Parts: sequence; structure tokens; C-alpha cells
Amino acid sequence: MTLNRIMHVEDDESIRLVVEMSLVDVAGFELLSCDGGESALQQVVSFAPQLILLDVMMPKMDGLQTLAALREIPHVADIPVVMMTAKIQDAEKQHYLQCGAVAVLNKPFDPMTLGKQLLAIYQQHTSR
Amino acid sequence: MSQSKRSTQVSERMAALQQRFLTTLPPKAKQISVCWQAIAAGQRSALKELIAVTHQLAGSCGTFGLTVLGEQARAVELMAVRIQAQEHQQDVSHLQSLIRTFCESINGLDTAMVAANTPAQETDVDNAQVWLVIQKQALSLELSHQLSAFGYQVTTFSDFNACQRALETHQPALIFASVRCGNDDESIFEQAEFLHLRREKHIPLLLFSAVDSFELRVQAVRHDVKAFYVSPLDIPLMLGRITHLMSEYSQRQGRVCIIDDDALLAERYALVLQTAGIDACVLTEPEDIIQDIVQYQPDLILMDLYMPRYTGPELAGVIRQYDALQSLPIVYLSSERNHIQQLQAMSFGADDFITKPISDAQLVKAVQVRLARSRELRNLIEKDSLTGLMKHSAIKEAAHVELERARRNRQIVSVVMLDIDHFKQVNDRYGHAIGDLVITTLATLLKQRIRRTDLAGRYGGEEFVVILPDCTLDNARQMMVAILMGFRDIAFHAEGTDFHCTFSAGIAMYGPHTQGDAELLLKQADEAMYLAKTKGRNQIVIADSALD
Repeated sequence: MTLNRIMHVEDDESIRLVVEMSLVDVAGFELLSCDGGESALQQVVSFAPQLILLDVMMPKMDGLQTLAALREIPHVADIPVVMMTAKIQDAEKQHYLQCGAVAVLNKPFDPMTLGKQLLAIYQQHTSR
Repeated sequence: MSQSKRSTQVSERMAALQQRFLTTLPPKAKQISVCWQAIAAGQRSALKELIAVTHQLAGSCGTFGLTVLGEQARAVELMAVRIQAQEHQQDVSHLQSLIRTFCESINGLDTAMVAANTPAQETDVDNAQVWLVIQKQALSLELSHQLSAFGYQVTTFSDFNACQRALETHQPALIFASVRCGNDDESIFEQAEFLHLRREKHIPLLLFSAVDSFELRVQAVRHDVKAFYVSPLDIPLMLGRITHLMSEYSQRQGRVCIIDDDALLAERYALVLQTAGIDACVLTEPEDIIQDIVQYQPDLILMDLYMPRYTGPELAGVIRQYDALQSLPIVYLSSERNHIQQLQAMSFGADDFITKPISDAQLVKAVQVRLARSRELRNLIEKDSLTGLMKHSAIKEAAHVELERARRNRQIVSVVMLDIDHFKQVNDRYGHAIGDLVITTLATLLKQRIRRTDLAGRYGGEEFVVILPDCTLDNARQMMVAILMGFRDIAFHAEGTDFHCTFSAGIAMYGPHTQGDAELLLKQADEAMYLAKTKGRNQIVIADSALD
């Protein structure tokens, strides 16, 4: 199965716009951008993404809380979640993986290759 | 969609997003400064906000190509996290200096962005807000009146406090202030917060003082004051300076060609310069440089001294063989520290040296300084020394170029010929110095009122030409009427009296159905101008041919 539908959860509007350009214009995916965990939880069932790209540090509901809440929703629990973070410590990245993220991507990222990275992560995940 | 078209669209979108991102930075810098003030005042809760905002910037800056800024944000974040865990006085002062560096970087970017992004429209003239902080009401009124005639919007303040409050929410293009002002006769140099705010917002400050002293002048320099005037104020001189500052503010920063065999390094330099709003392109094929330079029309060449096939001086020598490139500044960028070697390299026609290694900020500054100097030099060659407008030959050449451009693009061009009325009488009655003043005043007014894409030149003694691309007769007439009304309003002082001047103007237009060349168009405008003179002067006449 190929990757088509991606949900992006991020509070910083600048990053949402650049991810939209990167995933829609460069990579050609179908994308739904959410400005926080609450809006993601409301829309995740109807949009039914194949992959969720989730920012770690958000003001109200942070990435880990959002991840935990997503895991509670039937059918949504299986959707691979990729966390995105500006944290550089490895220990923190390991923690996110233990919490159920399939991969952790760094910020800053290269908008020209983000789509390819997500595709590779998705393919690796589904072939397992 | 073809791959290349798509990639062009993507890079255009990326560029638009970058510009958009840049506009979000100054408020962030402000937020960070506010956080710092709270932290310095002992409010530890502000650390959390500081960490959140710098964390976000550490992630986003790099994505938008601002790697250095991203690293600076990261440094602030990490230091704030450390202080949050355990407070050491040393760390706190370190945090302060990290924040200062970061905010300075943002403010540096801000200016470049404003310069690159200001649209070439009349609106930037409309926005030309000048603030006056002057206690003497008579002077304040007189200045407001004169500045308004030049199209500036003037706001007056009677003390520094009122001006400071307005400054917190508004952004004037320039502030002109008395050194001492207000009921308590306070000195501007004691207004730390006011001075800080105006510096942070990059607003040029001009000062006026009732007394002249060396100490005051040094203080003015220390506060980056752009001009210092002593009573009695020479108003036309000050107006000229203001127009110059305004145009400097809105001028494009210039274009640089980088010649280096190390493509990666060259690309990096180009990126650094581009981030600061300077156009930069990289040339790696020495054999093609002449063709590329002619095509790209750079204001400056930045060149490596040692390259494998040809040396820098050899390439400089080749560039200098072309007449059109004689005055193009060439600067070597090299790790050569030996001054004798440097001088030897320069004897082949290069002008300057920048020594590697160099930080990004230093490179930008070094290039900006040299670009500004080269612009000044070019102005000296091409511009009329009295008025700063184009010389006769340059404006005539420009008329040809613009007409050809209009012919190719099926557009219109209006040309105005303009002559000051009874100018000989002014010279005879008040002397040449006053005559020159009238001429420079009209020149300043023209520069101020025309659009960025328009061109103005001094055609003869008191005769001017204005070229207005893509401008209808009606718009041209409206623009000239506004200039004539402004000019009429300006009071000149001589021999204890005030007098006013007027001008007559003729307008001709080139359109898709017009025959003839620039020469003919100028002649038609000239004839219309003479008609305006015979009809009683102080008016604008449209050439008959233009109405066909």
C-alpha cells in the first residue's frame, strides 16, 4: 500500500505552512494540518490518515499527551505516528519511541526531502 | 507539469514562506527581550516562556535556511534550561549576552528584509512619516509646513515622553529632534529608553541643537545620530539629507557575483549574502565570467585569490580589459594574510581585500560597506553633482532604453519636460547660491514624489526631464500638478524676504500606436513646455500629438 494521506499536528503556523508546501507541493501527498492535539483528536477518525506527523512541544496538549489520547481511539491506535522535535538529546528520542512513536525526526528539517523520509518510514513500518 | 517548472514553483513558494517567516521574527525578538527583563527582575516563571519560544525558533529557523540563527536560539534555550534547573549568577549574565546576540541577529535580518521587500509603489512615499520633537513652536510649525510640501506626513511632539509612547506602537521613517526639549529642558541623551527603542526599531535620528559643542557632537555619534544641525537651521540642507536617508533606506542592497572554484563554499557565501537581502550569484566557470557578468550586471565582484586554472589577478586583468567593466569593483576573498602579497594582487586592477576566515555577520557587513561605497562612486560618475539627479546624457540614454522597453512590451511611457519660471530673475536678484538652492529644492521634490520606477534628470540649467514608464497622461498630469503645488508652497528666504517659485511643464506620451523615437518624444514634451510658458507659466500642458 502506498502512502497518500498524512495528518500533521503542529502549533507553529510557520512550520505548518512549510510542511504543507513540502508534503503537498513537493511530495504530492494529501494533507490535513491541525494546530493542536485537540483538533487532531476531533478530525482523526473522519480524515483517516495513514500516517500522523506530530510535534512534541505544543502549548496545551503536548505531543506525548496527544499520542496517548490517539492510542485510546479504536482503529486509530494502529496508525503510525512520527514525532518531530527540536530536542537533541538521544534519551528523549528513545523515550518517544518507547511511548509508541515509529520514528523521531529532527527539527530543523529539509522541506525538500521530508516527504521521502516519511515515505521510507511508512514503507519500513508496513513491511514489518 | 514539467519537473523544472514544478521546482521553480516550489522554490518560489519556499521563498514566499521564508519572507513570511522573517516577518514573524521581530515580534519574537521583542517577546524574548520582555522575557529577559522579567527574568532579570527575578521572575523565574518567565524562564518557561523563554524556553518555549526559543525552542520553537531553534526548530524553525534552520528549516527556513537560517541555520546560524537557529543555533543561536538553541544556545539561548539550553542556557535557560540550565538556569531553570539551578541558578548561577554566571549563567544568568551569559544568558543575557546570548539573548543580545540573538536579538541583534534578528534585527539585522529585519532591515535587510524590509529593504528587499518594499514594493516599488507610491505607497512607500505615503508611508513616509516624519516625527518632529521640537520645543520651539515657530520652528516646529515651519518645519511641518515645509516637510508636508515634500509629501511627508508630519507628526509633532512637544517632549520626549510623548514621542516615546507613540514609538512603542508606531514606526516612523525618521525622527528629527532638538537636543533639549520639554518643560524641564531635558537632554535627549538622558532619555535612555527612548534612544534604545529608536535604535531597536532602526529609525534614523537627526538632531538639532541651539548650541554647538564638541561634546554634544561626540554623544550624537555614540548614539548613531545621522546628522547634527546647529541653530539657525538650514532647512533646505536638512530636507536634502532627509530625502537621501529615505532613499538609502528603501534602496536595494545591490548585487554581488562570487567567483570561486570551490562551488560549495561559494554557494554558502551566496546564501549568507542572500539572507541579508543582497542579490548574489556564483560563477564557477572562469571562461564564461565576462558573459555572465555582462548578463548579471553586478555591483561588485567577490573573488577567490587562488584558483587552480587561473589566479584572481589574472581574471581581474581580463575583466579590466573590457571598457564597460572598468569601474566594477573587484574584491578578493582570501586567506592570504601577507600584506605584500595582498598589494601585489591588487596591482592587477582589484580594489580591496577581505581576509578569510570570516564570520557570516562580518562577511555581510564587509560586503555592505563596499557596496555602499561603490554606489556612491557610481553616483558621482552618472549623477549631476548639484542635484543628485541623472546627468543630461544619462537621462537621454534612459529615455531611449525605456522607450525600447515599452515598444517590446506594448506599454506606454510618459515623458515630462519641466522648466523653472523666471529663473534668471532669481539668479540676478538673489545670486547664484540662492538659484542653486531653488534648483536643488525642485530636484529633491521630484525625487521624493516620483515612483521608484520613474527616472528624473537635470537636462540643462533649470530644466528637468522626468520619465514615467507605464504611466498614462492623466496620471502623469496629476503627479506633476501635485509637484507643482508642493513647489509653489515652498518659501525661499533671501535678503530678509520670502519668495516663491513656480515651473512650467510639458508632457508627451509614447503608446503602442505612436511613431518615432525618444528624440521625437523629448521634442514634443519640450514644445508642450514652451506652450505652457507662453500661456502664462505656472502650469502643465499636454502635447497635442499625445492626444491623437
